[in-house]
Amino acid sequence: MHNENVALTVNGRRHALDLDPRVTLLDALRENLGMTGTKKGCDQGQCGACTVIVNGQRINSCLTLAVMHAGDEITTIEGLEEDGNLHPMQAAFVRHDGLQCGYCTPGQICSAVALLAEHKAGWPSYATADVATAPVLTDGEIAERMSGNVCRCSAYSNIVSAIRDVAEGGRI
Amino acid sequence: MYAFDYHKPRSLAEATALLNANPEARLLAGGMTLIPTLKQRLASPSDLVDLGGLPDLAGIFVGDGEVRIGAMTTHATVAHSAEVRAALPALAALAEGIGDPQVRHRGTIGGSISNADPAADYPAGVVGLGATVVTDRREIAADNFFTGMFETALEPGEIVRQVRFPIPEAAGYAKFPNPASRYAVAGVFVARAAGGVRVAVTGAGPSVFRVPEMEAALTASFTPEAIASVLVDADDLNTDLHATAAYRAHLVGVMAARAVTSALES
Amino acid sequence: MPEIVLTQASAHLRHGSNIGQPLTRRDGVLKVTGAARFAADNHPPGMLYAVLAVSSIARGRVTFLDLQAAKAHPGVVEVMTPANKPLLAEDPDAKTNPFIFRLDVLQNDHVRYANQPIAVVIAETLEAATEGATLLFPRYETEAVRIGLEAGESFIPPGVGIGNPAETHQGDVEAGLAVASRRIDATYETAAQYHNAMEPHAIVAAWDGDSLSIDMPSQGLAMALGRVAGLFGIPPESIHIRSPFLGGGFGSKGLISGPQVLGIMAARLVGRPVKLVLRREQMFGPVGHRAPTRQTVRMGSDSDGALTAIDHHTKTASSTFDDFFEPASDISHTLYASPAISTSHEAVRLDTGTPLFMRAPGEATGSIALESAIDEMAEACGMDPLAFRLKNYAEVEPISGKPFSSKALRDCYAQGAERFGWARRPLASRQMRDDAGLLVGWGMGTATFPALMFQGQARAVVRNDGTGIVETGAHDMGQGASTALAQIAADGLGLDLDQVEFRSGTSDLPDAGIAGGSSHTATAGMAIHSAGADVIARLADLATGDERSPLFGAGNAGVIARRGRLFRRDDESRSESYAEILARAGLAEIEGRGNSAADPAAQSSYAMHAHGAVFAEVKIDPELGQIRATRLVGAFAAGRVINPRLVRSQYYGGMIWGISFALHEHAVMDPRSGRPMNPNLGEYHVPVNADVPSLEAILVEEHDSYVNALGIKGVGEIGITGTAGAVANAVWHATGIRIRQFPITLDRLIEPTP
Repeated sequence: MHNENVALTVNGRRHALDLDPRVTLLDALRENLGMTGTKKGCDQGQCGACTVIVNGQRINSCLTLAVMHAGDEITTIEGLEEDGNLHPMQAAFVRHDGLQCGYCTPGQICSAVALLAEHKAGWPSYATADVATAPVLTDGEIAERMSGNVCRCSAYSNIVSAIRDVAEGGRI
Repeated sequence: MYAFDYHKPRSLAEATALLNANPEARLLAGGMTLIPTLKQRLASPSDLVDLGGLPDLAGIFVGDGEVRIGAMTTHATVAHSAEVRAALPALAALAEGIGDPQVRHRGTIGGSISNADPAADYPAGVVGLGATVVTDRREIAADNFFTGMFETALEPGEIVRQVRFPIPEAAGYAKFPNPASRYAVAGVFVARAAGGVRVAVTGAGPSVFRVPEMEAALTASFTPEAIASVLVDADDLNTDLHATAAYRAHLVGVMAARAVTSALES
Repeated sequence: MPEIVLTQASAHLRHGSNIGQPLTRRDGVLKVTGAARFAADNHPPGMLYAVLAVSSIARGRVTFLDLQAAKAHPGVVEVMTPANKPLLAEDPDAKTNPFIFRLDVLQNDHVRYANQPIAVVIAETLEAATEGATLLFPRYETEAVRIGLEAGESFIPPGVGIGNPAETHQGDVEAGLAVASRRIDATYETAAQYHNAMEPHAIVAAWDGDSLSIDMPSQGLAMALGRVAGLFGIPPESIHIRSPFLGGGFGSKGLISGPQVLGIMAARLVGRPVKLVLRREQMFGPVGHRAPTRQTVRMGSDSDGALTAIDHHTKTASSTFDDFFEPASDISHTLYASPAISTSHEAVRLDTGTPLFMRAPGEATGSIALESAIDEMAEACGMDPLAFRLKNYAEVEPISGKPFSSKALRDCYAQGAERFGWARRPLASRQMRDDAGLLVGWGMGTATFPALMFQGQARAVVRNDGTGIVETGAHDMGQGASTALAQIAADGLGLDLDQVEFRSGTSDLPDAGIAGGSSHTATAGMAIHSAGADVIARLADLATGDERSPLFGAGNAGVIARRGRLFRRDDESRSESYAEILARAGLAEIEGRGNSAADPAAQSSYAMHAHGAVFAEVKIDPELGQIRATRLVGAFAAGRVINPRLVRSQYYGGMIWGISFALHEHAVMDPRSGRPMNPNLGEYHVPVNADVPSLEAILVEEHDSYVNALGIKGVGEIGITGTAGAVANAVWHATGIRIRQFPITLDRLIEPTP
């Protein structure tokens, strides 16, 4: 079996890697690139702790192979800050106490950042009563759209508050 | 995970050649099922042939009385497609209910139906709408496509290219999701077309199945009340951690009625 | 402005403005940027990956491992088995005290539960180690397994929890039942549950000669240090454990686990640093769980609704090889007044891993049964459940007759009920529907958790630049210890928070006690508080004894420490800064030490508990039995609140765990193989965001002069208690169907077909 040369673009930086094709994107980030902000909670796509944003879309990095992502734009929790300032979503999570132990938090925040982008694009969710009209981002909508991210400490209601705050143009 | 070689062909012909050259090769679409399967060592392909490099396999076309969805189209793309939501809103809603957002951004219709998980949502849509599965070598009618639990009519090396859904007069999908995985504990797709009504059930049995008694009753009268007295036999249904066969039989009845209601409202 | 008054020793007051403030988490920015370094994020040079091979049988022995196949896999460096494992200095099966649990660390080829470690594969890459572990293809000699409360011979355990008697009797229960005009006799079942912290148990271990460096999440650094020192026969001083962050613990990281010890052994074996992280499914076995229970509650009441007897009996299970018995019945000791109370436990031994403390061990499990039974008793008496609870309100602790050190439960009932709108609740069940036709039910439960303290130590320093350092080996597992304790530290030194460096989370610091039993803020906080007092006393001695100081001679009057200065208590125009005092004394810094422990005199005189009242609304789809908790209001009184923002988060988390207890969590064991059938988050359902209702937590004011000088009780666990029963009672109120098996399954609630 052969290793693959793959160039991953993470947070705008290109990294050339020689990888066993079995390496997941999650393990490549954590073990090969030393970017440990992205967490492994279940390694089966069931908890969302490993959520990263690929080409603008949130995905579970444990459920995809690194070699599949040559040329993709990958954004991790380490790439959300701009000019040394917290991303508004990061600041809102601190302000609303949308975290406790912090282990699921990078995935929650990547998921939340992508959620707002999806909402801007007018995407409905399973909880949307009428998929034909533009959805309103109610607490129920946010909760449904965040249900791929498990938080065992159960900071859920504060996570919803943080996201709503940013959606409504909250403070930075 | 067994070790394997990885390939990302740039054409369907190249993909086919790779499959022909490596009898133990497997196709990789979104990977939402295959990668966990590999991690659990339940599959041991010598090679993975990633279809992600074939943009022609992804895309949505609506026209000529049908919705055609390329095999590599993700659930999120189907769910959010303005054309699908206008022409076949029940299918968009079905796609939006699969898994969670992270899964919907990677999982594909081709991967889902080729895997034929008994609790997956798409098989209900494919059978309920009487769709046609187009492969690199033939067209397969929905009723002939799903042959059992995780089994399809696909031959070794055969590649799903597209699914063609005839646009019905009305359609609805209702499911009772597993609270954790969002797989269907029972899901029912109902569609009314010129040729009659089709009712397809996923999640409840070993494979997607139709309910002829419901179809007959709904063809006569397309109302939830028409099927209120149709009982589904629990004997053929699954009992597992999530629900008993008896509860599933009950769910099928309730979900079918809700699917009809949803179809009438759309 | 909060004022800390020491009950003992010091004449010096300290004023600060930190305690009571809703500060955001001090580690919040690290956690939202991904910079917080959890154990598995470490990667020392030369590190190898270790992956466990675990048993697929629950009882028997391993007869064969294909070592050749595993070692032949490219990248595999070594396979550790009972044959080549490094020798330990201590028998891992020796039990020297109740906090030492027996570990499975390859001591022999026996298998005593499914998912028990049977080998460790060490490789250059994670992929190679993972594949190597599966290539071992173990063969077994299998014995019939004992799974479920019916298996095995029942016995009365020597004790339950940690050192509680298995039986307690007060008054004559049978006589009380005989005179009762209303009686209930109901049996409730609770399922096995697994902690499932988001962070799997992990360790990065590196040996340097006989020195050992460990990164590992721990709720009990000092105990882990002692255990590792004992097992490996090395002095504690040569071991350094770092646990700056835990990705959740909930009790499962209170003690070092077998797999973590195996990581240290693997590093020893290969002579290189090793990282070992459990896979999610491997967390269903060797790292503890909450045992299943079957609880029978008998109650009687007189015609006025006054309880005449409570009998609470629990059947539970431990493993075949160690003792932890869920003390579920003990909840009945403290909540409701009754002339006769009897509690008892029996147990069986099963082929499972040893159960362990899981968030509110005993209290959570017992509470759902007791609160359900109280609801049934109220129904039998035709009384509103809140009125019934008030009728049987315990003015003194029922089992002991001791007065409570404080008990603001009446306020909790009143404020919670008011906020929830409880007065509008129809007495009978199945009376309410919403616009969509869903059945609506309202239920309530009383929450309670003991106010515990362990022993702790801390060190505090004031430096001549006027800043301070406070150190204690505390554990932040998400409850916010590093924030709340820093607030106590700042006030304890009379400094602003940004003037204090707070250090915690490593084993070289003073022992802060275990982060368990909702006791950590009290234990570590009181140690910090005492260390602060010690420093201030030393500073005051320097100043008041020095005639050059404006505080000279103020010894009798005493001083007040505030914002980095000492003030003469009877004349605040006279003051001096810490920096000035130290400079004149020619000292770079001054150090103080503090200890904490429960006050035995207060403990023998008072019953000490936090209390609360939880009100729940559920909506149920009558066609499906599908249940949704839609609204929860909890009102809790837990003494002094250090940080209301973090405390509210603890209550929310606990309340969601309560919902989960009633409706979701259920580990299913295959009775034939003994294997868990749903060892993953796709089938073992923990709540996700969409399951969570509107939540409100009311912080009810309560002052307690006896629990400790700071008046702190605990908040980490109480939220589950009360809530689970409230949800269950709401399900009854919605449907008229009383379900006594938890979690409640939907098929039991379907409307009968007409």
